[in-house]
Amino acid sequence: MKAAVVVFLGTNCQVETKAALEAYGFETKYVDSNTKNLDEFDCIFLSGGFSYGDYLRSGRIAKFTPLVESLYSYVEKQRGVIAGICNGFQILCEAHLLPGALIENDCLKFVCKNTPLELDFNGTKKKINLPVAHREGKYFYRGDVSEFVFLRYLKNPNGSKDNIAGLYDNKKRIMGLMPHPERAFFNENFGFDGREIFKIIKDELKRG
Amino acid sequence: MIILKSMKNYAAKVIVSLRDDVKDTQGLSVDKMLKRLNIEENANFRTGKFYSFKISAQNLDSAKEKLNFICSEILSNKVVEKYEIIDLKELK
Repeated sequence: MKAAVVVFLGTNCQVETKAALEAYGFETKYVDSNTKNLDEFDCIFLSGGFSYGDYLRSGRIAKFTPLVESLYSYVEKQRGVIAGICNGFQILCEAHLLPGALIENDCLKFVCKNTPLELDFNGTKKKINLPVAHREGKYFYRGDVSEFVFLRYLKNPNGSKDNIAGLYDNKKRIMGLMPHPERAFFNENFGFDGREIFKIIKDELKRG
Repeated sequence: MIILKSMKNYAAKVIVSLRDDVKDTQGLSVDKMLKRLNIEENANFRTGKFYSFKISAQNLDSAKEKLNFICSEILSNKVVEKYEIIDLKELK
């Protein structure tokens, strides 16, 4: 399986994401913001960081890059899975590939800690711990998105509506989450719970 | 973009702020501070971002159209933000 890790100017979690994907058996390649054709990849990872300095609002400038424009056709073709972690989630929301938006935390601080979460995927619920690191991670939405949520905070660190930490789109082909699963993967990290998220992505890819 | 000589320059000033139903935490902090200092009881403080830039267009109408596009697509996200054009005038 081939995966692409997107590197914008200011992205800083690409190395961990690539290492985690490779440990999970993906053939991984970095792609830059000018990439126009993504059809060779089975999954696209938008990793964390501060793309384009988070100017205007986080993810706003990255939204206008050729890569994000090519994501629309990637989604239309139902080619594979798109996953956005942290800044990637913000970009996906800004590009309206996922509903809602991410705004400044209620505490007005950069939150960086290990957080307990509830993973609810395909009917099985599980408690996991993942690190979060963001300043604009408060999820806000209009309408009803509860059926698309797969990850909720047990101790809400940022004031997200309904404790939402991660969700997918109606076809389960695009997923976005605020915590960093790639930072809970190896012996050196905070536990191994991040593997659960990568497992979901792999299972989704196998489903076809 | 080729800028023709007939193009006019316009100066635009825009304010982008959070929609009324979105909690403005920065505004709330200032609100509390004003209350604590006994300056204002209920200031209903809201914060926003101010942008000032130049637009080239053939006439005022097309300048407005261009400005609305910039504001709605680039400077704000309609899910959480609203924009207000506070000034658009021709540069002499």
